[in-house]
Amino acid sequence: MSKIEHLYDKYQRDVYHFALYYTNSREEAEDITQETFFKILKQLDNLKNEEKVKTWILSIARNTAVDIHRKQKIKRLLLEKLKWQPNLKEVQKPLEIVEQHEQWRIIQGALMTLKAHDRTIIICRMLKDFTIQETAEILGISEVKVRVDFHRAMTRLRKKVGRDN
Amino acid sequence: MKNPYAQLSNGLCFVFLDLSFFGIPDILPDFMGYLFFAYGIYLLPSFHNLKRWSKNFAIILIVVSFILELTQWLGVKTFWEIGIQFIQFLLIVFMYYLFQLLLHIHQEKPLESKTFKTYQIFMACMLCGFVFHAFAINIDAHIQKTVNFIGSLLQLFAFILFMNYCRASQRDEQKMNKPKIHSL
Amino acid sequence: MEQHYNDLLKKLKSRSDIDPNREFSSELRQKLIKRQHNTTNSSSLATILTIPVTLSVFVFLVMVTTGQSIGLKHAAQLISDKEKYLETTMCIVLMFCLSLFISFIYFKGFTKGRLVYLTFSLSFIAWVGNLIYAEHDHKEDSIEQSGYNETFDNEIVNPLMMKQDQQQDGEEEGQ
Repeated sequence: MSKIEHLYDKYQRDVYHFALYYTNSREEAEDITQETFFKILKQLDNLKNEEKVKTWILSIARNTAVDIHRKQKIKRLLLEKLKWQPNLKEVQKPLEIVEQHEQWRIIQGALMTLKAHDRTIIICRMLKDFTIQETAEILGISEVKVRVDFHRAMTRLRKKVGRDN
Repeated sequence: MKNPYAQLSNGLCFVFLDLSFFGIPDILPDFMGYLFFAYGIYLLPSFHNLKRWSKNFAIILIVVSFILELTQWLGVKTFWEIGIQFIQFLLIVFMYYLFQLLLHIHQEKPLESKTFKTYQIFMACMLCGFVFHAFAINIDAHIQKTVNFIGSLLQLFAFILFMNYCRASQRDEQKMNKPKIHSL
Repeated sequence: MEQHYNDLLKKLKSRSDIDPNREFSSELRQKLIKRQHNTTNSSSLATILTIPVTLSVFVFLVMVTTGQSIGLKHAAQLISDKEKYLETTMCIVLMFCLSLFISFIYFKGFTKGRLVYLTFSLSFIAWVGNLIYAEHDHKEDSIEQSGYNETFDNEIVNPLMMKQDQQQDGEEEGQ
């Protein structure tokens, strides 16, 4: 088994989960996962510190997610403007209305309203249970800043959930 | 608090406009423009690496444009003519990084779409203008003027667009910083 | 409230669509294996781009620091008006092609990546290339002018001058 296959088997779920929580869309999450592993394959020779492979992969996933999600959002906005009608995603199908009763959608919805930085911290710390050190490495910031920002992000999320409820 | 976008628009004004009266060299020197840029970037609300990077880039441009300005005062014509085109290219690269930073700052905010559109048109016009000026060197004299004029027109359009964007961002920033009046 | 909030987070952790599609996973795995074999032998676009850019920067630095141009001789030198016209047309076509490429890249919405860097490097190469060409062209013109004065005009090649000389000789012989 080659190195890339080994990394794919080990971290594919982590990358996919991160992308799914970040975008709340299966299609976008699949795009992000694919793009991330293509980038990993290209930069595999640059990887020197094998111990930090997990945070290295997740930081690539995070950057890819930011890029792809932004592009998709702009595309949606432009399409909306061109068509002069609301976004198709916002029109609820009957099945979706039923699914909306699933409670996790409440918190995922609140998560989507947060800033990208806050969202990433919450995904890493609360949903993927990464350590503070790992989160700091993924985001490229200090551990102290992770602690402070995580606390603030959680407060914001609680407020949002409270408001939605 | 000073508005970063006002500093950025001042910066581009200084870099773009050359005003000389009565034989006095440019009263809006380029290095002052880059100084405004560096200060504007310093005021931008971000901790991203791009901020540090583009601020350092602006500082390098301050030094380079100051040397260029000096050669103009000293009258070293050939070096100045090539240098002015080279620094124009560096300005485009610098603006690209500045836009990357602005795109990061405005992500998921009301001005995200406007920032992106400005980035698209600004970069395309500036680079096309640069290419027009580059090719104008080798084109026949009678077409040369027209090509140079189109190139300058494209860059002027990019300049106006950036000014407009800065004004919109300034207004948005002021709206955000306005203290909210609570009703009793 | 806190308990309810933690419950919600737990539910989000195990949301119903958390597992990736199996078909997608195996497809991506296959794609990666295929790509791995393809990418091992080919050199990247970045490498291909870096070489001309580095060379053009080097040429530019030589020109600026030494104040001399690097003489690159053409296989065929363009002298006649028709060829000069062709040269201008080529310049304009190249200019429009490059401008169209740049516009396409930015209006397509690229913010980073190879194509964006390609627009920068191509513009820079176009500028350096034009500077070198202009310098070279200027040098050639001056060589042509001096050559014409010394050889073509004063000696044998100018047919009008030859005719005049022959007429003068004839008149002198007649007298």
